[in-house]
Amino acid sequence: MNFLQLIVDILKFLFQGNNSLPQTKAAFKSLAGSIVPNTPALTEQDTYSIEALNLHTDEYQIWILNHYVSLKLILGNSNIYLANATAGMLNVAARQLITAGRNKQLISPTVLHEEGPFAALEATDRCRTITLLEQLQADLASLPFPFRNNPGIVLALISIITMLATNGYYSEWSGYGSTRLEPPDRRKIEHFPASWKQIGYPGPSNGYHALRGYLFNQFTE
Amino acid sequence: MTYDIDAIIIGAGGGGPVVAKELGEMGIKVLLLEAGPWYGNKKWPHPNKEQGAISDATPENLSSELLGKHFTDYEDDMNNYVSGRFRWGHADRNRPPWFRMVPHGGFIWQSSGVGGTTLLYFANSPRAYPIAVDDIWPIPYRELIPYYEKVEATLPVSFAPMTAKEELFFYGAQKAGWSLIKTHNVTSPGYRPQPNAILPPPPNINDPNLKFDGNTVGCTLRGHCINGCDIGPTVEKTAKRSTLVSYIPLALKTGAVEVRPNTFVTKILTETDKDGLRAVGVRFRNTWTGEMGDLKAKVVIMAAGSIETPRLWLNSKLPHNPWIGKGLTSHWFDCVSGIFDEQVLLTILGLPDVKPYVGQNSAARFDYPGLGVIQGFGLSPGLFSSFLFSLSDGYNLLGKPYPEEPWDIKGRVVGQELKELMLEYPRTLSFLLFTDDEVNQQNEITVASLLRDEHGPIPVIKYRPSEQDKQKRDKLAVIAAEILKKTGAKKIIRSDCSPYLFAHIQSTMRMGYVVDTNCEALQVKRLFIADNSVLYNSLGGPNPTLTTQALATRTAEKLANKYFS
Repeated sequence: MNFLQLIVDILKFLFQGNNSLPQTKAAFKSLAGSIVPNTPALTEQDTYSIEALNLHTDEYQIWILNHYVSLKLILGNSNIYLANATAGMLNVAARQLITAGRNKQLISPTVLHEEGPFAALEATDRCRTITLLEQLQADLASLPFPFRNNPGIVLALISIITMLATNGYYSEWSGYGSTRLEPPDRRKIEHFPASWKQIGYPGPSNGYHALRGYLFNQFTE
Repeated sequence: MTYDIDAIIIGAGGGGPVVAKELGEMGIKVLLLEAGPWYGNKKWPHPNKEQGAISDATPENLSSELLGKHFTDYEDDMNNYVSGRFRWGHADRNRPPWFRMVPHGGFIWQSSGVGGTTLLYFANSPRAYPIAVDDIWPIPYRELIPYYEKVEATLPVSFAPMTAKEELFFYGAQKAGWSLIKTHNVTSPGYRPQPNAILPPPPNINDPNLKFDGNTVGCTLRGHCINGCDIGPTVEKTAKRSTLVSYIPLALKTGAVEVRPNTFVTKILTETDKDGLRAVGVRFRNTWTGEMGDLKAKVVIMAAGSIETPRLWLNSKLPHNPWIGKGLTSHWFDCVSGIFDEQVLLTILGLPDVKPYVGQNSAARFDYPGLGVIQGFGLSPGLFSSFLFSLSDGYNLLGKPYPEEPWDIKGRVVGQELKELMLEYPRTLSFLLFTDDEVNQQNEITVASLLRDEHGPIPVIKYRPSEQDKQKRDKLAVIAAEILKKTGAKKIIRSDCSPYLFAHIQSTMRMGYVVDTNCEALQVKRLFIADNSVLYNSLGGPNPTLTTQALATRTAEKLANKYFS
């Protein structure tokens, strides 16, 4: 890659900032939906069908990626907004999977056109896309800045994106309701998280009358 | 030379406050510098929003009421890697965290702030395995014992109480044929309650009339060790003994210790005299204002942790030594969990579930000198789901376990399978595994040549476990699965964590290579180290904090004898 191209890339990257592009939103919606999907009720628990998209877990992922890295650039410390670039990376890898014929399910041409290749894939094929990146089998030269030809940054990001969805969905974050995207000190719990109700977690408590004794009274030495 | 103070300590985590208290008791004047915020102190009522005061030296300002406000009990608010109060970063959570480069992926679980990572640790306080120290370390195990005893009495450490999850753990370990061991000095495999730095529950904890108002003296079994414990009538009587509530109040009471948060040390200042190079002070940066300053002291103690201490050495351009930042061990974690039918739990416990969110986060352990540790644990659901289902580098649905493997599920779990397994959360018993990983000079902390933040070139963490480490970890996983099977688990899950979850970060400035047996730098006089980085190895697998605190106690004594007697 020539130096001029790198400068253009960096300028494009900085210009995008933290405004999520339409395909970025679509990629994270499909990613969150693959990790905690909508499911038909298996049990009689009426909360079982709740999924990541009901709880806006995709917004959590985007927020985290846009607040994850700060580095000293020419003009001082700057936030490096990574959500658009990460979605771009997922889309490049998804297109490669499709081109190589390694997706097991058919894709939707309409979704492909409107929302991008990653969203067009079926959930298991999205996992295959992530695996492609994780095993560095994707063409790293085709990835967007700052992932291009940079396996360290690819792995650093790809290794946390599943955890972002589980943390976002199963923690209290969805309970922040309308304040969920506010700075951390301005958020307020507005309701009991639906995910906690789903799995039978009663929420934080100050204590439990739950002592079942001691195995022994003292160490021998 | 004019000195500002007798001793400067860099970092108020697991080790720094121990040195501060010990030196303060000897009348040596100490300034303890901490990069992050100070929670539960009246001088910083809004520690994440505004700079507040510069420093404090009076125990009267510690406030349990404020601590309760700052520790909100919510797991994302406390432990989010990017915006949590217990993140590695600036006190102002609107700013991104301080970035570290991990080129293999993964993440580092460390907290800035007074108390450091002990703010979120489980408070497990086992000693090292004697066989991992004797004839290996430059000092024998017996040398450590009096210092272990002193720290155990000071924190204090006591054996953990049982709730349902511990009773089930012990039931399984016994059924699998393992012995109960009743010792601090573990020489053979077996199970035991955790020696935890947590005040025991009040004797009447099961009395339904006992109301939990947050002021109880002793642990209330609420399961929030990792999300910030604020149970207690005062800061110094808080149940979980992070250094914020144990050694810091003791240090302040000596009248000789001043603590200054929001202060990031960027350079060790040195001078050369007839005896060679010696430390004379530090250069620091106020994290709120960006203002820089120098402070001079007769001795400097680095206690910034196993990543920042070597980073500081390298960024200070201190003398070359092939072992600076080298030899990183991290216990290569794994998790193995079992899901139980209600009927099985009713038969064993008389309860339909095991509730992983009840009880101390980790209160039961199995030690195996030569292999490592298996310890029971239970967490709030966001952290629980991440530990069990998202830390691998492969998907269960793309590569199921082989039939001969003793688990039904291995690796990252997503989709409907994840939702179904999380429905079993109240009936899941989980084990955390720590591998006795070996020291390898290729596993290292270096600094980036191009990437910088406001404190200089950023740290780069490289770690690759050996084939022997892998074998040990696999053996531990098989033992854990057997225990769960004997207990009656209907489904067993192995998380198969990637090696790049760094929580026990150790041995990057090793005794004998970078520091002498007094933990004074071999190449820079009057520069000491008092964090996990001086550990010679991974202790055989046990959680490192107690050993670091014992060594810090010893270092304070040696340092005082040498320079202040």
